[in-house]
Order: sequence, then C-alpha cells, then structure tokens
Amino acid sequence: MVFFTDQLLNALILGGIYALIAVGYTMVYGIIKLVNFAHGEVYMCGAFFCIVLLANTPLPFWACLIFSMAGCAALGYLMDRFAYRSVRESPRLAALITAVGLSLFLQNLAMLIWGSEPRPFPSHPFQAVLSLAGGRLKVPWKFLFIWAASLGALLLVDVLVQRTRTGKAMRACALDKAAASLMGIPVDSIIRRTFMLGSALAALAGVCYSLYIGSQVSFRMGVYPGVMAFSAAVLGGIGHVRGAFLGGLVMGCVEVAARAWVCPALGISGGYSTAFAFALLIGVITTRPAGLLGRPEAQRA
Amino acid sequence: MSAREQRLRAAGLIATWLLAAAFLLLPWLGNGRPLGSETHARFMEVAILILIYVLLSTGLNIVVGFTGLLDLGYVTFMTVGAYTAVLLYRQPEWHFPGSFFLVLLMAGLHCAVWGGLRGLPTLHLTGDYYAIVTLAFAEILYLVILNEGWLTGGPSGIKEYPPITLAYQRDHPQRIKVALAVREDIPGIKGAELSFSPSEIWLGRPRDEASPSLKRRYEGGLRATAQDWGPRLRLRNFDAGTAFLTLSTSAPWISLRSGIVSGESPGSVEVMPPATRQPGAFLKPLVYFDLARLPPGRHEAEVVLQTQFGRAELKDGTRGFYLLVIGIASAGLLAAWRLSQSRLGRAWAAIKADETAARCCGVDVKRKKMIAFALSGFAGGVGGALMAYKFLIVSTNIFEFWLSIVVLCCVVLGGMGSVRGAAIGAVIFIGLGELLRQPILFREASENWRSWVRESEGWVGQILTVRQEGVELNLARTRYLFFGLILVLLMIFRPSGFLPPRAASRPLDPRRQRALLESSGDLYHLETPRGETSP
Repeated sequence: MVFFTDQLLNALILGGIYALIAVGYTMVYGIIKLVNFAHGEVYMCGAFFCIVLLANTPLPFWACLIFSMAGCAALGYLMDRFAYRSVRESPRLAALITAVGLSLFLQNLAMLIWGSEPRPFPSHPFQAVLSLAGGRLKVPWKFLFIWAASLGALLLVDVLVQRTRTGKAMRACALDKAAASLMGIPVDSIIRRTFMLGSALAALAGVCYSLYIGSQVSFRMGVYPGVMAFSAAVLGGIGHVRGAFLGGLVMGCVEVAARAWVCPALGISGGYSTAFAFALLIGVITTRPAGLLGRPEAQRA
Repeated sequence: MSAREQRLRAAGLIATWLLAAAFLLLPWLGNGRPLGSETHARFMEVAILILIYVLLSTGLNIVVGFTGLLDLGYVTFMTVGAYTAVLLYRQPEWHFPGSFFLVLLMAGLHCAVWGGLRGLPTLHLTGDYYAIVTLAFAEILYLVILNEGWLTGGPSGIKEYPPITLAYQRDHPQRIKVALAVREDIPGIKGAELSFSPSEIWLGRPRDEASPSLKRRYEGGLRATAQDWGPRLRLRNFDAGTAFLTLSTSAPWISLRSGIVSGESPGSVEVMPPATRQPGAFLKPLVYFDLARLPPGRHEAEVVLQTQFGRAELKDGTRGFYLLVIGIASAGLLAAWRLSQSRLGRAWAAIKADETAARCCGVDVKRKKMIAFALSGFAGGVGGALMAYKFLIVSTNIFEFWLSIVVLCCVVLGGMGSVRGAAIGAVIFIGLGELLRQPILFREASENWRSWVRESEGWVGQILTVRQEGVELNLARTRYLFFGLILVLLMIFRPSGFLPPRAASRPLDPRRQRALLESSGDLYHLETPRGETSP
C-alpha cells in the first residue's frame, strides 16, 4: 500500500512536470506549427540558472526561481528573434532543422559553460518531510511545493489562454495567422509572447524536476523530459493546452507504472520504462495523430 | 539561368571532380610523395571517415532529400548494421575468403528489413510526426542495446572482435589431451585439476623461418591450483594479428567454445576458462566442464584445435580499407544518381512535392515510400558496419542520437535531394569536424577561456560556474556546438544547401521524350512540340 502511494506521488509529480513542458510545446506548435526541439534545452537552462543563482548568491529560493523563469523567457525571446523568425516563411523542414540545430547548440553551450559532470541541487528550504496518517505516509515538503507550483502555473496558463486578450489573440493566431493579422492582431508579438510563456514554464519545470531528483542537473537532462513532454503534447492533442495537461499526467503515470510494475512483471530491466512511453507515443501517432482531445484534420493537398 | 549562375555551377562541377580525383589518388600520395607517412596516415583515417559519411548521407538523402520525409533516427540503421556485422563476423564460421562482403550484405539487408518494418506503421505520416516516430524508434533501440547486455555488451559495447580479413591461412589441426582429475576431499565440495598435454602450443608460422623444427614445441602438463582451477593452454608465437580457434571434442563432459585470440606483436596468450579470466588476455571462454555431473576420478578427452590465421587485415588507415570504403561509397553514389534519374526517383520527387497529388496521379505512394525506407536503411546498415570496423569498437557511446543529426547535417549542408550535394556536404562537414577536433587549434582558445573564468572574480565568474573547478572543456564534443550553429545559420541564410538539386522540372532529353511518347502512343504530344501544348 505504501509502495502504491509512493508511486502515485511520483506519477503525479512527473505528470505535472511533463505537463508544464508540454504546454510550451503545444502552444508553439499550435501557432507556428513547429516542433520546438530546443524546448528541452530551455528546461535544462532553467534548472541551471536556478542552481547557479542559489549556490552563488544570497537570494532566497523563490527569487532564484523567478529569475530563472525570467532568464528562460529571455532565452525564448532570443531564440524566436534570431532563429525561428528568420525561417518562419521557409518550408517546415527548414524550421524543424533550425530547431534541431538550436537544441544542439544550446546543449553544447551549456556543457561548455557548466561542464559535463552532473551537478547536485544545492540546499533549498523544502528539506523537511511531512508525516501524514500517523507517520505511515511520508510526503516530502518539496513534493508539495512541486504540486503547488505546477498546478498553480497550469491554472494560470489556462486562465491566460481562455480569459485574457492575449490568450484570445493566441487562439486566433492558432486558427489562422493571416486572418488574425487582418483583424489587427500583432502576430509576431503574439508568437514572441507564446515563446516566452512556454520557456518560463519550461524553466519552472526544470527547477521542479531537479528539486525532485535532487541531483543530475546536467547538460543532457533536457533530452528525455523533452521527448516525453512532446509525447504528452501529442497524446493530449497537439495545439490544445488542456490536452497537454492531460497528456502530461498520462505520460507520468505510464512511466512510473512501467518502472514500478510492468518491467518487473515482464522480467525486463527497469531501464525500459521510457521505452514504454516511446512505444505509447508511436502508437498514438500512428493510430490517432490528433491525440485524445484533438479532432482529426482533413487532408489537404 | 544567368551567366553568373552558370559560371558558378561550372566552377562547382570542376571543384567536385578535382575533389573526387584527390580522393581517388590519396592512397598513393604517402611516403613523402608529397605527404609524409605520419600525415598521410592521418589523412587516410579522416578520408575513410568522410567516405563512410558520404555513403551514409547518400542513404539518408533518399528519404530526406528525394522523398521529403525528415528522418531523425538514421542512427537506428547504423547501430543495427554495426552490431549485425560485428556479431556475425565474430563467429569463426564466418571467416572464409571474401566473407566480409557477405557480412556487409547481411548487415545491409537486415537494416533494409528493419527500415521497411519501421516504415510500415508510419506510411501515412508526414512531416513532424514522421520525424518524431523515427526519433522514438531510435530511442527505443538505444534502450534495447543498453539493456540487452548478453547480446550487445550493454553500455560498454563490444570491443574485441577481429578486423576485416580478406585471406586466411589454416594450420594443421593439433590434438591436445585434456585430463581432468576430480576430487572430493570434503564431501559435497568437488575440486578439479585440469591439465592439457601439451600445455604449450606454437601457432602460426615460426618466427625464424630457418629452423622449422621450432615450429611446435610441446611441454608437459600444467598444474592448476584450487583457487584458479582454470587450466592454461599457452599459445605461443602467433603472428601479430588475429587467430581463430575452432575446437572440437567427442567427450560428453566437456563443452568447448571456439574463440578469437588477438594479440599485438608475436608473443604468447594464455587461454583460460572464464573463472580465471584476467585483464589483458582476452578470449571467448574456451573450455567448460560440468563438475556436478562428473564422479571423482580421472577423466580424459582429446580436443582438436584448428587454427586459422587472418592475413591481409584491413584496419583503419590502411590502403585496403580505404579502397574498400571508397569502392562502396562510389557504388552508393552511382546507385543514388541512377535512382534519382529513374522512374522511381521521379515518383519520390512527386511524393516530396505533394503526396496527395502524387497519389492522384497514380503514384503508388506507399510502395515507393517503402522502397525508399528499405534502400536508405540498406545504406545506413552498410555504413554502420564499415564504421564498426573503422573504430573496432561498437557501443552506445559511438552510436548515439547525435549521429543521426550529424548525417542529417551533411545532407542539409550539401543540399537536400542532390546526390552530389550530399557527398560534398559530408566532405565539408566531417572534414570540418575533424579539423575542429585537432587539439592544436583549440588548445590556446581553451586555455584563454579557462584563465578568463578563473580570474573573473566578479559576477561573471560566479554565474558561469557553480564551483570554480567545475569548468572543463570537452573539446571533442564542443564541435557539436559549431554543428548546431552551422545548421541554424544555414537554414536562415541558405536553406537549400551549397549544391541544391537542379530544378525538378528539368525536361527530359528531347529524343528520349520522343521515344517515350512514341512507345506510349501519345500522338497529341508527339505532334505538338513542348511548350506549345495549350489547346
């Protein structure tokens, strides 16, 4: 029973983190139809910004988090301004290759700057463990923080997309960029804001993940969560913000369940847990590319 | 086409042929005419790498350039090809003259099959979704290679395998008496003493040709102690290179494995059962015996040892290996060029331009795509296998995700869809990468960087480093930074690459067009010259 609740806690945390990253993927894809491969690297940079600030400055944890999110928003802005905007009118393959190139560039820049050894997460204010139900259920405070942060951020994004003017403009751009610009929506600015929002969320996810693991902040840390979050976005229906929430949760549960139960049951190594997530991704893409919440698109010549 | 463009194209053509001539002549440019042997060896190694990449990018170009589908998992085929070749060629049964070509063929075919299988569920996918699925397959394969250590060696990979061998020399079979004394001093615990007679065998040609009596020298049995109860059979005086041992016996209690012995200079290698394997003496387990089944007492068996020596080994940097690789790469280029001009190539171009429209025009899209996947996989498998024999190690460190991106970079840099472009792209990109790897270029820059970080006491140093000693430069990987930058800049400034394919609408040769029209009985177009077909 304790094992089950522990795994459930893990699944919810991973799910929340994947959802946070997936939102960035899905919003960018919704508007400019680009798989932003470098998104995982933004996530990695977010984690690095935070631990570097935390270790070297007297700033409190929340300030480091805010600065890291702001830093990543700036990174998102720079990526859009100097790379993606130039290839917006090119074929989609060109944009995709740009994204791959950016990902390669950022990863190796991070390695150049921060070295190739994984780093531990410095001391943080959420060290204590909360005992519930007479000590039978132990929940670290950092878990509670991660839930609060991811849930809060996701709710905020949902409100932003559904209720505000910017959100309305984003949805309009996703529907039809040309029509939106004819309606007086500054499309470029909206795209920029989307990148910045997604990058800030990715930074939050990066901080949460490294807080959760407690170590392994390395220049390669963005690759797997990036692919997993992209899978989550596709699973939920790419372009749908709420689909990304759902997809993230499902991916988190699949990964944890695979590691905790499926792999031992099949007698295979636990290293295969991510393979199940990839298999799920392949299955969803090949059978229902529109995802759980999306509507199938008619084929256009 | 403007005059300037024509001149540029002519210059490009001349440069291409000059480059091809340089590659063809390179093996004969060593020994101080004009390259020194050290430089020449380095050039050969780099050129071999480049040529392997030429083959790989030609293969990837079929899917990415001709058919217009982004494949981000090309490393899948390279991995499968490399492991297939190594696992096959490690078996002594696979060593006969010319067998390496068969191994290459098997590796290619294996990958072609996997390419088709991977393509099967993705036939209706386009664009990003196809790219993601290929990526996912590559990651799954990576996990399989990492976790199935019994086959693939896991994270450390496979290191000890024979190099490409073209000719063999068989030695006479040698008979060795194996005696096993099983004792049960303490009830329930069996001990064994194994001895070989003779325990020392001379293999191969004698070093000293003048005294053939030295060819084999036999000595008495060798005692095994209780701790390392492994018997030792000492094989001496094999030539530098690889010997394949095949063993056979009729004794039921002993099981034998054949193995590869490989060594540096002529010397001796000790052959031991797995229990006493020591670092340095590497060999597949040679003799197993089932102690539980044996009653105490003395057991004897005869083992026949058949040795086969590899002669003419093609290792990295040798002329033979170079010629093999350049031959295969040229064959690949020729095939890709012919394919691009063929009916199949035009069908691919149609799919690239617009899949739905191509289907409406009667192109069997799924079939043509499958062919593209299989052919691309074939080239990837052969390229991967060659790479395995260039590095003489296969592991997940070599065949990692970024390798797909490197090959993709070659294709994109040269010009997607252009046969010559993909080859030129590989030459430029891989050549540049190897250049960036030369430590001389970088040592100074990296020293400056280090001292700058060390000295900047202010916020810059603090932001850049978590701990001061944490800064280190991994130069071999830093070149990926430039690769990434090149990709981005290229997409911004020259998205069609250095040598973009000529316009797809290039008309058929008029005579050929006429012949085609005649054979199809299309009288209307036959009588109306091209360009005046408006009704």
